[in-house]
This record gives sequence, structure tokens and C-alpha cells, in this order.
Amino acid sequence: MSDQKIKSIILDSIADGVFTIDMNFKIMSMNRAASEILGTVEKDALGKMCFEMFHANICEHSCALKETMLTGRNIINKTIYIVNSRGDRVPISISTALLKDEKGDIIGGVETFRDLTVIETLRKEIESNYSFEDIISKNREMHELFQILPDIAESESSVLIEGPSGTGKELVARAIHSLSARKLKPLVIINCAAVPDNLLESELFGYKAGAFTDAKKDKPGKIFLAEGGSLFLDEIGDLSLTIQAKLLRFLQEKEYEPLGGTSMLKADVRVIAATNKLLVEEVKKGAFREDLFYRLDVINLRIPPLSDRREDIPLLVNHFIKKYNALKGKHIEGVSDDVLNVLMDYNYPGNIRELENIIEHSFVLCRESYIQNVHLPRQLRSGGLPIDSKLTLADMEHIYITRALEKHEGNRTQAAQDLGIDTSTLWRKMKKYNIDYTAS
Amino acid sequence: MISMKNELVAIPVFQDRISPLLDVANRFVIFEIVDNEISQKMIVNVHADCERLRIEKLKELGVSVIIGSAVSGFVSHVISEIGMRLISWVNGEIDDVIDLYIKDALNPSNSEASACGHGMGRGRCTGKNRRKRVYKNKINEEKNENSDNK
Repeated sequence: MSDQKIKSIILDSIADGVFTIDMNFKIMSMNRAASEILGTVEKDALGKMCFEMFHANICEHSCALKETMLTGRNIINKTIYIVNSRGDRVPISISTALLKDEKGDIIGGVETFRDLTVIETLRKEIESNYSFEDIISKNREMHELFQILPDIAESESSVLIEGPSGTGKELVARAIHSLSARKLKPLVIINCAAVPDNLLESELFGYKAGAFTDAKKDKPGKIFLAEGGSLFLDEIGDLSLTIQAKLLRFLQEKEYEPLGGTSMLKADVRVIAATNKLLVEEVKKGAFREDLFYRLDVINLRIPPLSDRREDIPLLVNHFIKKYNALKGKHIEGVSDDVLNVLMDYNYPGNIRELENIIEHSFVLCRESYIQNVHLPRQLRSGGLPIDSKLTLADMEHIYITRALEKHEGNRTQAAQDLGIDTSTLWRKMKKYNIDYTAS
Repeated sequence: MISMKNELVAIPVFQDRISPLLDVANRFVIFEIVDNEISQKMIVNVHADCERLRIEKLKELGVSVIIGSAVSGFVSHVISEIGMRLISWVNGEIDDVIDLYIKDALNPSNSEASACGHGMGRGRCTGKNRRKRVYKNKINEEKNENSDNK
């Protein structure tokens, strides 16, 4: 059997599609898998322009083979889509390389591609098990939370949700309300940090006409509006001690007195509170009343930061892509593998809200089917860390070392490998910068 | 019998040929056809944030027919919803394609998508006209060369 024949058999045996083109982008050869994925036969394709057989979203504007033939750089595992004869958008992963003859002269290009349909379908199937109400997660800690949420919702006890900003505390509060017997009554939300202290009292408890100069008529407070339902007090750690005292009274007696009122009003309202502070610490500092803390802390839920649940990043990225496709009328399929790597590496000080902002930013710039590196905000394009001109080299080293240790949960060997330095150098630098990282 | 055509036809263009994928195409050649003759031809760049807006812009220009190559089910649906006619899965040089369209020779054939009944189908440019034009161009080039020599 000739070498050529053996090579042809090998090419036809592999599951990936392979085709080659000449310098004029005309198809020179195509293996069996390529014919099957593209819905054609090799003899019909030979000599045709590759874009007239491939019908990919990148053919016209950012052809991968053209880029390889211009720059000499291989492209590896770029996620794109083609449209098949049924009009389906088929997600595929492509890789390209130069095609050279025996003398090493470039005679064209070769492209391999893999159908990702099954992987995508499986991914969607798996993802469907990772949502609870509007909360999406496959993190173990969050799944424990999903399991107890229905029981928490059934009870009438106050709930305190703790977690950093942007982790989805309001979503948890909404889930508790919608799973409770109060779901047909309102869920009233007030952000205690966003309302000035002098207005917060009237916002919460309402006022009677004549209570102050501009009070021409009665105004019901949030507690009144939440009658029969739930009241979500966000950022409760920012309440002043005066309001804390009034809120405590309401929680104890289930009664309150509007500003300028002369009698107590009864209220049937369940209180759900949230804070990004450690309330126990605030109690120790004397900034938060201990008795109010214990009234609120009947059920305590902690939401982990996104950096502690990195496994959720791909799920959340897809969720936000679906959301913004619907909102902005776009048809973006996903993010490229490079972008996903960047997103997985980033630390998210702003948590899920920051991830959503990143996706929204990328949507504005992306006119392709997959969000690429160039569509990301600048601080992510430059390697995941904001370049601040005020930072010294030592500061940057400190940040990078801390980040690598966080990523590898304190494993110094892996962190050193990631940073491209010896473990002994890492030890020395940790000592120099006084970094004492212990995995949580 | 060739049907009488008076309409604007848009064809997405890439290197003088039909764009490989209508979903992402933004450069179109618009032909004004009056009594089965091309009375005007213009190139427009249609930039919009999403496929629907791009198609709607063509509609605003008065286009009633789009001839394209590959088209996703989603975009086909948008086109029919907007009230335009789509002839899909056509490959070849733009001028050949429009000639064949005028002559009713752009036959929708074996595309599975043609079942939707919106005029979609796999029309193939046979290349006969291209060969004719190449021949004509060759003659013109020879004429020019002869006149230059003189």
C-alpha cells in the first residue's frame, strides 16, 4: 500500500474534520469526518473556495486560515460555529496550521475541526441541574444552601444573610420569599446604606401628616407596604444605632409607631436582612446592637465570594450571555477558550456583579458569535490585574504571589510553578513581603 | 415563461461572490430590477448590533428579496417574519447569480430548509454565465491589446 493511501486511511479514520487549501483558498483535500460535518462529499468540494463549503461565522471577517497563512502562527482550539444545510448553528472548535511541501515552502493551509454539539448539549443538560430559583451554582456550599432554603422559607423566623457585595444576597432573599407562604404578598426591599439616616426612619415606618414641615399627608412606610409579605433590609450593618433601637422594638413587639403618630400599628411582616460586614465584629466594636443582632441572626446564611466558587464561573458566564442576548437582541453563542481562561483566573473583588459587568461590557463591543479577548475590559486584557501606575514592582510581586497562593489554596509548590519561580524563591519572597497565606 | 420582476434584490457580497454566511454579512449589493432589467446596482454596508436590525435596515431600503448562501434557521425566521423573501444556499459570483435570478434559472433544489415554504432552497450558480463572461472579457482584453499595439 502506498504512503499516500495509508495517510488517506488514517485521515479518514479520525473523528476530527480535516481539510487542506491551496494559496488561493481552494480546497485540495477533505477527510471523511469533514465531509460528514459539512454535509458534502469530497469530490464536490475539491477546487471550491473553502468559505463556500465551510459557511463559518468567521470566514468573511476573521478567517483563521488566512491569519495563519499571513502570520505563520497556528491557531489552536478556537470556538466558532458553522451553519449546516438544516440551518442549525453547529458549534465547532478549529485549529489551523501552514501546509508545507518537502522543501519547506508554504503551499497552503490545513484546518482541523471538531463538532462540539454533543458537548454543548451535555453541558446544557448538566447546567439545568445547577439552578435553584434564580440562583445558579454547582458549588457544594451553595447546594447545601439550596437544600435548606425551602425549610427556611417555610419558617417565620428572621434570616440574616452574610456575604461580600455582589454575591447574590438579594437573590437568596427573593428565593426565600417566593418559596414561602407569603409569596403572593409583596417583598419590599430597602437598602439601608443608600438612604440617609434622617430619611430612613420615615422610609421604614412612614409618617403622619404634620409630623414635620413638608408632611402634608400620611405616607406609609416600607413595613406597612410589606404587610403580609417580607421586608428585605439590605446592608443592615450600616444602620445607625438610633434606627437599630426602633427596628429592635419592631422585631420584638411586631408593632411600630410612624413618625408623628400617636398610636402603635401592628404589622405581620417577615424580616430578611443582609450585610456585607461581619456583624459579630460590628457588635464587638459597639457599632451594632447585640440584642438586635441576636433577633436577626435566628437563621444565618453565608454566601461565599465568587473567588471561592470558581466552578460557577462558566455557568454564570452562560447565564449572563443568555440574559444579554435576550435584552440586547443579540445572538452571541459564548466566550472563546482564551476568554474563559482569563475569567477563571480573575479574582472578582466585585463578585458576581463584577462578572456580569464584564459580560455586559463585552456585549457592547462584540459583533462576533464568541466573545474574544479584545472585547474584555482593559484590566482583564492586561492579564487579569488592574495596572495602576501608583503600584511599585514590589506591590505587583505581592499581588501576584497572593493571587497565585489563593488560586492554589495555599499550595506553595503549585503557586511557585504558576509564577515560574522556584519554591525556595517563593518562600523568600513570602517572607520578604510578610505574606502568610493559609488556605481557608 | 420568465416572470416579470420589479423589485430590489439584496445579495451579501464577499470578494465578488456571495458571502458564506448571511447571519454575519454586512456588505450587500442591492440590484434594482425594473421589467426584468437591472436598472441600478449599489453597494451598501449595513452595520447593526444584531441580525434582526441588519435585516430590518435592508427592508427600510426597500429590499424585498435576499439571495444568500448559508443562513441559520433563526435568521430565515427573522426574514420571513419581516415579510421578505429569501433564496438561500446559492454560491457563486454576484453578477452570475443575479442574471440567473432574473431568468428564473436559480432553482431551489435539495435543501432541507426549503420545506419552510418561504422560497428558501439550495440554488446553485452553474457557472455557464461565468464562462461566457470570462470569454467576453478575454475578447475585450485582446481587443484592447490590439488597439494598444496599433
